Amino acid sequence: MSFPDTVIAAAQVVARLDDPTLVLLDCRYDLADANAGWQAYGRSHLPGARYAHLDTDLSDLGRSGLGRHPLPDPDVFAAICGRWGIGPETDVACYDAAGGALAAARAWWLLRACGHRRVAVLDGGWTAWTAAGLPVSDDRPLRRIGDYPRGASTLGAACEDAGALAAALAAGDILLLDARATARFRGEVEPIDARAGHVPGARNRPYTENLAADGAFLAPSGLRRQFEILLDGRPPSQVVHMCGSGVTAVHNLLAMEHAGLHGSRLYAPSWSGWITDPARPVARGG
Amino acid sequence: MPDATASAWSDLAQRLLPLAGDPALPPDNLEALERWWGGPRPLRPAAVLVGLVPRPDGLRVLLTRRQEGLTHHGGQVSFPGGRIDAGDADAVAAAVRETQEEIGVGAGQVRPLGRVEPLATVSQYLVQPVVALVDPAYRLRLCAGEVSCAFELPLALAARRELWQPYPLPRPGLEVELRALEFEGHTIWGATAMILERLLARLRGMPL
Repeated sequence: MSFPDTVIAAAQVVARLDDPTLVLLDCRYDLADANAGWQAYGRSHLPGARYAHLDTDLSDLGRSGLGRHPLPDPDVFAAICGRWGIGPETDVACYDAAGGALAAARAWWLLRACGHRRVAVLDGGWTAWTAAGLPVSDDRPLRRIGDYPRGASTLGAACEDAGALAAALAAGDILLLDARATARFRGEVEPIDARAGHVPGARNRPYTENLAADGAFLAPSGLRRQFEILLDGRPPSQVVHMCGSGVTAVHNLLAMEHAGLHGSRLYAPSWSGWITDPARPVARGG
Repeated sequence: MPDATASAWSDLAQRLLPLAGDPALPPDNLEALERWWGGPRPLRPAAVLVGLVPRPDGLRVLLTRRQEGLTHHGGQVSFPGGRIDAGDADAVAAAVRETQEEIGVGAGQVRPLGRVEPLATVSQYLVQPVVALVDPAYRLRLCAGEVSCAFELPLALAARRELWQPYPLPRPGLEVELRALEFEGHTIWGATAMILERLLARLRGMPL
């Protein structure tokens, strides 16, 4: 049976709530309180959903110099997938309470980097699900299977090198899209990081523009028009995404895939990684 | 008991708290519990046996599943153990006695090695974990009223932190980070998980 590989509608998930071959991942995360999403999961979640913690499951906070949410070790993440009961034949739907940006898209991207294609982000997420009165539960499912096979994983080869990024930008080989809010991109405010501004040459594309007012994704055709203007004739594979820490950036990457613009990449360290070396240039405004 | 690896056991024992005398430190989770309770509460002394079974593929820890319907922790995975009775010389004696009563593994097959830090439980027990070597030739005789099964968990598997699922407490306001491990249909969490964590912290770097 085919399974969407970008965005999945709530109706498709509801129909399979009792289906053990569909794993639901609750990825809710609040930047202001690292355990708020986890505690919210403890109160209620989609029936049977497992919790994916941005800090401990979707990141390895022990790696330094790579931003606030460094990518996890491929072997560790393969074991975490097994803990969630995800194997190569499993369908996965990820959701959060931020339209997919915190941190469902990150989980989606990590699973794809493991070579898993049967994974999608729930359109509208927790907000739309509960607004529609769909079922929730406080169950605590646990069903561990073996580690996810490492055969097709590209996670260890992800783009994390600031020097390579700067060189590719200087050569005009890539289009760097920054998903943060415009005021942060311009350096007018900086609520989290030690320095304000953006990587010189980056273009701003707030991830919120991928979403309609109700928090659902815009139609693929509309997203495609918007990104094609930014691409200005470049192939999608030249696009590199960033944000504050490589989490909301994936929302833009997901939006491009959803729009049929395939092959863009993630610079996971993002702004918080870029500024760990004070010698790296910073731009403001524009 | 195998003696060929006596020095390995001695290395392990040296990483543990001494057997003699209860550790002077209060349980490090007591403060969080007392905050949640709104003040101190009396704690009943208890002891559990953290039995290590040497198998060809590494160390395994002996766990039980408590009978469904028991007042305290029914249906949960735990170490053999229980209240320290007036007749018990100390926590070590209580842990060994309870192991005999619950799973039929007697003192002759159990060699206490040391302890790990005590902990307090929501059910108001002060638990002294006693770590012991268990003869791999042991035979189970389960006390049907208390224990529904016993099984061995490979320590090397328990040591893989990424296999532990963050587990939100069903008790709002109690600020303790819990993790749960699924192993062959058993869920290991709560006090048992915390005791394993204490043991694994002390064995870090050793071949398991």
